[in-house]
Amino acid sequence: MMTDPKDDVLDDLFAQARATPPQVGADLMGRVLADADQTQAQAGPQAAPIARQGYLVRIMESLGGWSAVGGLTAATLIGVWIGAAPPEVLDDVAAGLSGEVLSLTLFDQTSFYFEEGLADG
Amino acid sequence: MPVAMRQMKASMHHVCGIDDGALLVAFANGDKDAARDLANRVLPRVLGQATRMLSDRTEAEDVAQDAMMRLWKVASEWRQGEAKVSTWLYRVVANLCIDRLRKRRDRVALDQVAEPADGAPSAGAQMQTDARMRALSDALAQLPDRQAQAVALRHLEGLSNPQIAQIMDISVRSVESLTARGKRALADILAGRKAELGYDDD
Repeated sequence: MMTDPKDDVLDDLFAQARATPPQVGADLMGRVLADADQTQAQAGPQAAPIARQGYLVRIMESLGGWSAVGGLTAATLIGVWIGAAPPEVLDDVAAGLSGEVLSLTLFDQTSFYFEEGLADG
Repeated sequence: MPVAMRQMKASMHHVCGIDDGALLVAFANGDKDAARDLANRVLPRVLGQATRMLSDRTEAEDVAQDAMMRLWKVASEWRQGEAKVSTWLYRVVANLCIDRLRKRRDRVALDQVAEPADGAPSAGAQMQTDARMRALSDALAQLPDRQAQAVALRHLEGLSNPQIAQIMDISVRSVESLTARGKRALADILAGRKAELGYDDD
């Protein structure tokens, strides 16, 4: 390979540029950390420690988030209502329906307590 | 938190080899020491990259502060393992410097006068080094943006082509082509200033 003398100059310049890395002055570090503090302060209220939100959020998400849980709650309440006061005509249907809904509810309660037990232990 | 405890915790980050991404997430979660630890780790390289590209201390420090500000702001959305903090910073600093170089190019085109690198009096050798570094930076400003970015990452930061490909989000082949063309163009621009920069023709 032929070397171009122009490249020698360029390589020398590159080498010089790399040779003396600048020192971070106290002033720059201060400015950067002040920005960090300010950003952290602004984000503060949302930045809850991870462990705090643990099990409730995870259960909620495993059930499909707030809207799904809302629907589930409504279905559960209707199930409880039907179970507690079944119209005579719907006796058989209500028995089946409330059984199904209640079993789902019990399952969720179980996993809820299980998670809580883990979090506490 | 007492100072001694803060220092102990800070040194624990260091000793335990927590990676930059984990520190950034700790920062987002309210850890007061994480910012200092992370800045101590990455700011020297951020400032170095900006200084090598711009050859202007004030401008380089402004870019460094700006890049770090962007890092603090992105912290709450940072997904560990998806991106490396160092790669992200290389990209941000390179883009910010290219913006500055573009403005300088427009300004130089208007003035047709190269500003002195620094008003402070300095020894002859240092003055020559400053002039050379400024010439390199000004020449970089003449290149198309992508070429300037690739050449700077390759020859000023000493990164490998695959690393540059990741930073610039292009193929390794494109990096090779950009650096080759960029380096040739840079050499041509600087050839005209050899004598002025103290390089003899012998």
